[in-house]
Amino acid sequence: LPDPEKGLRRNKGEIGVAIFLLIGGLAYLLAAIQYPMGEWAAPGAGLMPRLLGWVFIGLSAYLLGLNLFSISKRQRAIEAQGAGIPPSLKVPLLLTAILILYWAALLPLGFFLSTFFAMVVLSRYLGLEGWIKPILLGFGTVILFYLLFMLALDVPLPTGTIWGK
Amino acid sequence: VLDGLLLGLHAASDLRNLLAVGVGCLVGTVVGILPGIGPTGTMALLLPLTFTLGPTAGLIMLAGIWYGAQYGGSTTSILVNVPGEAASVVTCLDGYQMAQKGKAGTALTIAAIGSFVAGTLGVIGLTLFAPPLANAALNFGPPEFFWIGLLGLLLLSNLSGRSTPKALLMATFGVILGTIGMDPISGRPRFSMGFSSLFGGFEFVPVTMGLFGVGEILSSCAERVKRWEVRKVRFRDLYPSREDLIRSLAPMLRGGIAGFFVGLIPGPAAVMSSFAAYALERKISRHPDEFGKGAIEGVAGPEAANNSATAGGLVPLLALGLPFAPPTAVLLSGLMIHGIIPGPLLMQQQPELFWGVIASMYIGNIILLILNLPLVGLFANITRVPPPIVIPIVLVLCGIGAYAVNNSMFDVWVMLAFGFLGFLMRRFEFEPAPVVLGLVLGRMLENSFRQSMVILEGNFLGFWRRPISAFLIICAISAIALLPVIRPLLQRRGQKNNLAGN
Repeated sequence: LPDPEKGLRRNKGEIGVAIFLLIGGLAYLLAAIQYPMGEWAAPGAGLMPRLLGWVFIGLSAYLLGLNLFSISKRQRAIEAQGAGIPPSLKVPLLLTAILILYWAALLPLGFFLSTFFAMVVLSRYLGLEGWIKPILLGFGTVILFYLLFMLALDVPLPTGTIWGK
Repeated sequence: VLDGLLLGLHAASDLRNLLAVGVGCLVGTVVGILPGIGPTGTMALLLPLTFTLGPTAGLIMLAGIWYGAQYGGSTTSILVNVPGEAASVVTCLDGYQMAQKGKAGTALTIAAIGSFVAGTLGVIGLTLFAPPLANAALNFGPPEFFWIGLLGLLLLSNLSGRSTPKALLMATFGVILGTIGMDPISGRPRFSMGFSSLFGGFEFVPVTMGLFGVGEILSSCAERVKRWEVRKVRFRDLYPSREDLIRSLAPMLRGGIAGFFVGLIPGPAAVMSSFAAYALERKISRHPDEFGKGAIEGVAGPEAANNSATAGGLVPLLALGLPFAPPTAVLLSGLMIHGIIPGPLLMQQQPELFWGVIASMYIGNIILLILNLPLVGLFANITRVPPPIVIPIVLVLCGIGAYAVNNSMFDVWVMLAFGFLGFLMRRFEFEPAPVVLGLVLGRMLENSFRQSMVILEGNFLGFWRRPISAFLIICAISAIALLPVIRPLLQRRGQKNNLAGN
């Protein structure tokens, strides 16, 4: 049976998102004010951003109102569809952290070394068993991408700044 | 038209272009089979390749990926009950049931033949419709382009996802992203936050690869992708019976025609067309009770429709220069990085490219039929490659793709940021497609609005005094007023179909 608590928590999440969007819209509108609006016959750089800012704020406020004043209705709808809380954030967050480290290491270490390590770590983290398969996958990928991108397509991939020229 | 088509066939039969269409179809089929990464992300990923290939071959390859993915999407729907593509969701309903009854080979063959028949019908429609529309569009000015663009965004927002306010918000967010960078008229940078890399605005490729590539992967990782048991298909099982062929022929033709016209509408045309074709077949069938239990019409109609919808989607792009779906936005980007401005003049200024792409689709459909029939068993095995091998390769490819656009790490970070944003958007049921289209159409919308206001001397009534512009305003108002009424009806129909399938 669908859990009513889940529906309620989900609704709180939606309210949070709507508030975040509302604040974002306000910040954009404040930034847009610094650009000249011009006249209708000769619109300036700030006219369209102002219009967009108001539309965005209006839609965010509508979404917020929708979630604030129709909790029970929405909860019922969610329960009817059997939808639950989306899966946990742990795996995507860790994956993003690995990618940040990988791409931060790309310029200093160079494409080949950083990609090799990234392939080994990512494949291990995602469930490839043992060490031989991830290491072979890392080597294979680096060689394949070297042949494809650097030799065949002339894409200048970073070679690493810590190794000198 | 015939002269143009001959020119196109000459261009498409060049060895480089033939190779491009072959590679595009092959990659498209593989991407269609693999759940997790869609054609839009793949097309964006391979966009930098067009620097080496040139505009014609590059565009031919990218288009091949798009329609190739529609062919491949049905394979996993039928064999594993997992749609490789959103447009193949409806194929699961009857395709998988056919496979359960030992008729997987027949379902795969009918899906491939249906895709071929409708794909060819769609390209014929494209050949006939795009040139006159391009000629008519020569009379369009900034006011008409402003209203077409706005209408496209409104329709897309009304038809994407489950919530119209959310889709409208995302479309507005996309247009807002489009305002970042140099003001097209005064040349002054806007909202660049001190980053010189943002003076030119957000690059389309990193944003699309982030939202559709990295975002999709992060979402699928959150759900822990499992390995599927793939049914074996023998070559001799691929021959459909005479009765199956007769029963499938009319749904293929109906699906092909309906799909092409749905493809002209902004929005997720391939998905909408497959659901529309399924509903149509079920409605007019003499044995509706078979639907959801393995009716061959439930495979033939939708598979035909989603293929011809891709050809329909190319009409506004090639004739007007307006992308109404994320894959066509990538194609537009593929033209613009070569300095080619798509629009009504494309047919006159770049006839080889315009007709070459159309002619290549005739060749591509034949290649896809050859790829998808005898080699279907081989392609089905792709799903056996474990996600821990596929996902890291795709992520590294995304990084290279973003880096290669400007040889800049800034684009890689932009891609990662939009990737995480794409994951969060999926988590809270926001559609990424309107963001991408908002970004692409936003710059055009602002330019044409400001030019219109200058032409009309600031008088809004001037929009009404131009007949085409007035007609488009009425369409836009109707889209706002009528679609919220039609949308729940469409959703109810979709739910009924799902229930029937379950």
